[in-house]
Amino acid sequence: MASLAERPSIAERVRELGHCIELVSIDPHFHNVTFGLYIKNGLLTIWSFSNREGIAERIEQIRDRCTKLGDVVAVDGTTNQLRLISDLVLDRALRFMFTAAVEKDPSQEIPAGRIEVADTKTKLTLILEGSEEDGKYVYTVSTEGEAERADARVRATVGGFMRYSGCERVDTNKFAFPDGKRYDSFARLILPLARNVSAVESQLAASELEGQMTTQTLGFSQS
Amino acid sequence: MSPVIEKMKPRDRVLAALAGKPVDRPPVCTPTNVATVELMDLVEAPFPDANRNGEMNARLAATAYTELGFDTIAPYFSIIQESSALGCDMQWEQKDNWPTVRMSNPIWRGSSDVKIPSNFLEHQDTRAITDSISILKREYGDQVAIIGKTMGPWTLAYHVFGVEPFLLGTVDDPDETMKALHALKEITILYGLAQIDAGADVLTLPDHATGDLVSGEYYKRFLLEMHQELEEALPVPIMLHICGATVDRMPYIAQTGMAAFHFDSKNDPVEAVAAVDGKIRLVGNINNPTTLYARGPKEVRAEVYAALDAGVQLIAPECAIPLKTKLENLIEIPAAIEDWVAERGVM
Repeated sequence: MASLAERPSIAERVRELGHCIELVSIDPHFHNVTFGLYIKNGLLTIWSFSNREGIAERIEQIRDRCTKLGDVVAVDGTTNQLRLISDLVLDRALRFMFTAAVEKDPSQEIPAGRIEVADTKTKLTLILEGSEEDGKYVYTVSTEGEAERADARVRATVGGFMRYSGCERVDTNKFAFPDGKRYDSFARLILPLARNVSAVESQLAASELEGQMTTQTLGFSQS
Repeated sequence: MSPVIEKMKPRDRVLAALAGKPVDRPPVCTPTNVATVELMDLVEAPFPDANRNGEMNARLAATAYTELGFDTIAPYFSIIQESSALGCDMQWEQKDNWPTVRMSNPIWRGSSDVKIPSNFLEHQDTRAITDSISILKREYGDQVAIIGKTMGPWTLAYHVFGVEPFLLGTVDDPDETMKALHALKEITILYGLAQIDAGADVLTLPDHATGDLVSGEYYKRFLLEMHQELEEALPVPIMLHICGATVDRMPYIAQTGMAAFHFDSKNDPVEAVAAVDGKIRLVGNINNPTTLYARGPKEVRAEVYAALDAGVQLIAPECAIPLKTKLENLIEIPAAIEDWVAERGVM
């Protein structure tokens, strides 16, 4: 069996990396390798314990995708590190950002321009626009198209931002991030999730059960 | 405070704790599994292959000791190796999920169908574990306790007959159920002895008479004597593993003569210690789906302390850990034990 002695121990490595925010267990675009997003003192590090050829390049690619998907910036002189643009740590948003960066097709263009998404429950298009209001950057949700429940869909979308980014409801159709600052990339990332919380929750619950050995997953329970 | 004991080797620590002898500190143990997707990458031994190839299996299993600092190495990660060798319909899954038996498609109907294939111990999936144990014994056997695993007759019955038909049979024809369990018990013994021959120091014996499917009285009626027979037939310390709420059957489990009971976080450790009344050692019971999977080192440490304060002799995750468990939580278990001992002295 190959000796493991020359490598730094896992404990040392984990101390360097900090807290693991998210673990994506299978990268469908790079040998099914696992990638983790770690945070320490506001510094984010993308890490894999794999030594496969090309792993550093793949990490850099994921890192660069993160800078387009979320409100984070690359750390100069590194290929695997990111920094938040403020002191606010949006845990769920960072997790969604990282998962999308690993799992989505790297050749796929990341949307730009107006922040919008087609609603899944109506034929509406949900639109997000931001502006300064009373010292805060406030996002307004509006719709295009015809549907009976347009107001309810707007309210639900604002609720989705409260759930997934800890946002504060400013009005039935308006919200602000907890520190009142502008986060357009996270807003674009969260909008498709915020429009349909129940479906996202089901997906997250199913994902959490994967890899768990319980009486339920083994089929040894009544549920 | 106990007298000062010299620092023990992990293997000696585990065997002493299982025998109820003094230890320098409570062992951190893995009766089931502590492999994760990150450790699979580290040693290039991903699921499902690591379940089916002895060399890969050994590489992954060894990380429990080399990387996480546990006192044991347990190469049988899942619960399906024997059932695959018996011909059950398998779903091998991929890196981030457990291989399972498709129990909706059972291979046998009753006790008369139970036949152990002549090449049972030569099947790829039983050999993977015995080969791995041989490798691990050679590499680490002097230092670390090598933990084998042989599935009990109740779990095997779920796999080969299907959960529902088997449980209905316990009501409709209990004599036939006992015949089937006795026949399946031979598989438990055969595979357990093979792992002992390969070098296993200890065996985990999972037998899923779980709290949410069967009662404590069922355990007494169908399994107590059988577990006593298994304890006599397998000449190494045995850790019985049953998931779920099991306090109602712990007084019976304490009569099996087995070395330890690996118990679930659904049981309060103080109640569990009271229920077994010193007649069997306890291993456990750090919660998997919430604490190890979704929380952080602080919560892990609190559970380790609660188990030790209650008098649990060997600390372990309650069952096979989720494959996406964060390493920071796993390495916290041995660190917390060291700190607990430094603060309070050994039990």
